[in-house]
Amino acid sequence: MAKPQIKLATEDQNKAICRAKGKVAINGKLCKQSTFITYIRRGSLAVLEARMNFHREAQGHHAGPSLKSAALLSPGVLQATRIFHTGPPSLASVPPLPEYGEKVHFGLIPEEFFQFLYPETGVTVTYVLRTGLILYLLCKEIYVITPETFSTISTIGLLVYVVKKYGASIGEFADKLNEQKIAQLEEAKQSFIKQIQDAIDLKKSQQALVQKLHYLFDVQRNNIAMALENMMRQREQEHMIGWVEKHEEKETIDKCIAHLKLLAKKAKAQPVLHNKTHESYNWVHKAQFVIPFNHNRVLIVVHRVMIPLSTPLAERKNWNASDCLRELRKAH
Amino acid sequence: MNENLFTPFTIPMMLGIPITTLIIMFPTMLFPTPNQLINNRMITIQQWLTKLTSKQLMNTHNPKGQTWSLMFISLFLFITSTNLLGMLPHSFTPTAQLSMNLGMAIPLWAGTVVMGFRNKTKISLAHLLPLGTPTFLIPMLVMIETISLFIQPLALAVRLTANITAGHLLLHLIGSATLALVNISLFTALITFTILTLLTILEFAVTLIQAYVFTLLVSLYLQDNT
Repeated sequence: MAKPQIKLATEDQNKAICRAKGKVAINGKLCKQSTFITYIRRGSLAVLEARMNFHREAQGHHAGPSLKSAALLSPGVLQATRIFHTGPPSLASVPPLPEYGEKVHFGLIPEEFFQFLYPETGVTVTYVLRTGLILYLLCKEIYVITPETFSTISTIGLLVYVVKKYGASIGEFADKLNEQKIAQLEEAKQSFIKQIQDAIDLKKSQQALVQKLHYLFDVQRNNIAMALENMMRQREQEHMIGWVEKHEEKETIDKCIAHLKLLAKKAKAQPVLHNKTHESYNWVHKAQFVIPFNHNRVLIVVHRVMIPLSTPLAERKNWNASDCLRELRKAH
Repeated sequence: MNENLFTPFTIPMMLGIPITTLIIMFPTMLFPTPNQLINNRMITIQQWLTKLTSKQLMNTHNPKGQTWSLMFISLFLFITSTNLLGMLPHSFTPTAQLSMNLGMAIPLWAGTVVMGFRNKTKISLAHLLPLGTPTFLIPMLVMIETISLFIQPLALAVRLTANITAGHLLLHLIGSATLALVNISLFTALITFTILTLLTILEFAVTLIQAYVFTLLVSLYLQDNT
């Protein structure tokens, strides 16, 4: 704990005081000034010096400022003229206050008093003063020993004991109370911030989700397409089975099957002609799905689906069994 | 220095002017106003104690009675601080004067009683007769209850005065015993001094307790009449 040093007036300060008392040093000569300053406080010396330096630098040989009744204005003036403090701060400025108090004797007399006496008396001043003062008071009966003395001894002794023993812990308890108060408020603030942060994160995640929504639509689209295709195949098969069951003539079926086998062998050898393919199958345009487009229009995505003839060629041309055979022989 | 045993209780004079008023106003300087949210240690502890005491004192009252909280806390703090300051050596305790305690007790008690009679006349009058008394005892009992009602402020004042005065007197007497014994037998003087120390501890406790009792009783009278 650095004790602030009390300095007596230095030479510069003396000069400043002289200047302030009404005479201004201009180029080494003392000149009279029209207004006097009657009372200068230590705090305003810095102001005077700073202002005088500034003026001297700025205006060359012009006279310094005149401050009337500086004592009243010195704190405000110190702050207002801070902009003129071009050089390093002078020693006469106000030192900062110490954070903790100094040692005290008997809880009344600060250590500074004994330091003050140190140059005159040395280190024994505390003890001599203490003993001597007490003895003097007792001998001259300035302080009389009464019954009250003993109650004083017991009361003060009790108080000193309690303070020395429990003082620190009570201080800590008070600090804890304050910390609890601050912690409560801090907790409230943090929970609020967290709430808002959670809301922000939620919104961000929702936004990101919307960006990726098209994947979902694609998957759904594909699902529907696959489902439709399956449905179509199923219907194809059922229809074929139905038709075959409808025309249940065993011999023709057997013959047809045998001849179809032959045809198949033939087909393997020959490529299938385009128009035959055209003839035997129907190309149908089926609307796969419908997307709303531009509020009042609709985009129809169409898929060309190849489905077998609703009626086979044979039925379409109303062939009977002999006709079937004839066609087959032709192909053969 | 002390002519008789009661000189510590005389009104202190400064240049012939009694300075009792100044002494009574002094304890207010020891309870500074809290200016910030986080204050220094002294104010924090005072705030904590005040909160503790007020909660303890006022949680049994209904909302109407809780309007008296400020009054009770001020009373408690005043009596505590005055008594504790009187424990310092050579100091004067205003609450050791009967006049002062009567001045505190009578208005507070009268306030509660008048409030009770104005707002709940029937119930207040009914308090003058305990439940379940035999019929032939009623007139007697009403008189006795009335007397006990009017004794209450006197009891409040005298209780506080007597406790504080007696405590200070005892300390003084045992101190004088110690003083007398110091020349005769140092060992006995030490025993007496130990007794004195214990008594001092008791005195500190008494100051707090008496303040609490005073306030508690007034609050009790309030509860009856709210």
